[in-house]
Amino acid sequence: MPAVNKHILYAIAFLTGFALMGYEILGVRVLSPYYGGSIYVWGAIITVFLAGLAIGYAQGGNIADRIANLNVLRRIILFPALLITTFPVYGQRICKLIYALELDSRAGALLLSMILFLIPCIFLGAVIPILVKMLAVDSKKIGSAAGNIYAVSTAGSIAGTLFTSFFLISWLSVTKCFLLLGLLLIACWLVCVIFQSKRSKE
Amino acid sequence: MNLIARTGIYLMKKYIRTAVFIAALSLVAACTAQEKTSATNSRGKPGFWESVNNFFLPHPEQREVLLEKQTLYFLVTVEKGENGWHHLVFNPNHGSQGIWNPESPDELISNYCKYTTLFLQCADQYPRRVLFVGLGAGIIPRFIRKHFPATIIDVIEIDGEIPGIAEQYFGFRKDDKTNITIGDGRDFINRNKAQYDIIFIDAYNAENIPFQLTTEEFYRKIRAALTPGGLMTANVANLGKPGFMAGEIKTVQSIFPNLAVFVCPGRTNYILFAPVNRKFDSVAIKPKCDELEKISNPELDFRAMLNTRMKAEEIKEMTGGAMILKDDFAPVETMK
Repeated sequence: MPAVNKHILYAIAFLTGFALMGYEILGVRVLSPYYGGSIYVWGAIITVFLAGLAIGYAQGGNIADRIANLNVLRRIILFPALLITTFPVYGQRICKLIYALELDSRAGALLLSMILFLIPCIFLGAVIPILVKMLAVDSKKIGSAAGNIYAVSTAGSIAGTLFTSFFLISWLSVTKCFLLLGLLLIACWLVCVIFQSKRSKE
Repeated sequence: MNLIARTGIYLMKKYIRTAVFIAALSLVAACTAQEKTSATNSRGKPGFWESVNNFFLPHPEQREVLLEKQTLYFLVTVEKGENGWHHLVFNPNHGSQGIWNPESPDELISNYCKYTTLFLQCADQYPRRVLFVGLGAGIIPRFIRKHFPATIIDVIEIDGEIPGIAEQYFGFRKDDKTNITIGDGRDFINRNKAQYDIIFIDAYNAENIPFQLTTEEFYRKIRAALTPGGLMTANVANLGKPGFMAGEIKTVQSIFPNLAVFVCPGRTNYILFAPVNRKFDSVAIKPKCDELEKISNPELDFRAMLNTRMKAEEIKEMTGGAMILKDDFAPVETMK
């Protein structure tokens, strides 16, 4: 299978890492008007994000072993892209619904985080093993492929955390921030679409 | 001999270079850190070099530390000044959040505590139930309990250690009419079904007010939790962010049109009074209702405090270009 240009894979790794961490910062901003800014709101959100990543990595690995190409990648990226872009539509409604259950604050924050954030995180996590598989055409280079994809993805996460918490939150409303992050992921999806159609023309 | 001489010269040259480099660096550092060499920084706390000095040679004027406790949210210290006053400090190098004199336990020392008692100007009946968002040292709840024994006092405080510290070092007493809940203020008011005559708001984290306690949605809920004759009072510390102060005042005013704003001496705090239906009467200087007239803390000079009220035009000018804070957009951490 002809290898996809590795820069595309790195770009997707960076942007998905960026979107993931930005999403996490926004998540706290969304939950705080309901459950407060207490330590367990942060804990609940971090827990759910990590759980989503763990499940995503495992599932993504299974998928990658069967089939790892831009086609699969495109589909996997589109789902969280749409979920994040449309968050302003459903987010508040779900928050109000879960809050109305009058659960204990810790349980409520955890439940709400799971409902809102788990599924997009699973998909964003699944992206990583697929990128690794696509990068590691040579089985001797699996180590560096994995290392590089994780490094670039983490670099994207650093940028996403910093940029969102230091700047985006101050410049834009939470709604607009969601749109921005969603657009970033849609851009990833477009990259997959464009380069896939380019390759199929060859 | 030659070798020794050469080695000697080499070492001398090497160390002289190092010594000159260090000297130059110190000079540059001392010059560029001019501002920080002042003994106190803009907040009146020890400046950088002062702190360095204090690290090695304890400053004799520093207060005795009665308690130092790392809680989930703060590094709390209780300090005892030379005059025996207890100070509650929430984070190192920040100001006192509560001051209490064990020799004179009913005295209100902090300016913002004195100003908060202006609620007496606006209350024309015995408060049946009051809420405190943020406990601090519990100075005002103690004041309320002393003058209004029958009032039910609800407290919502995020830090579980604070009530114990308030009881142990600041004369705060829990009784059967005082209910302390540990949790977030916004979460509490979201779920709240009670009606309060007075709501006192004084909640901060390390550097600012948590954003979910500053927005119009929050104040809308606060208003809904007040009785028709009720009153909200908030202590907004001047954090050196006029943009935030203006935005906050504009936000509160949008929910409480009858807002009155008082400025503490030195502009350290802005005290907001937001009656639901009535107007804040600055003309009468004695408390309105009969029971309230019995209250006398000698340090309370109502007339002087009332004179610091911001006029309507002043408020309008201040809040002119400010933004109303909403849950969706309340960048309180970075507003200037």
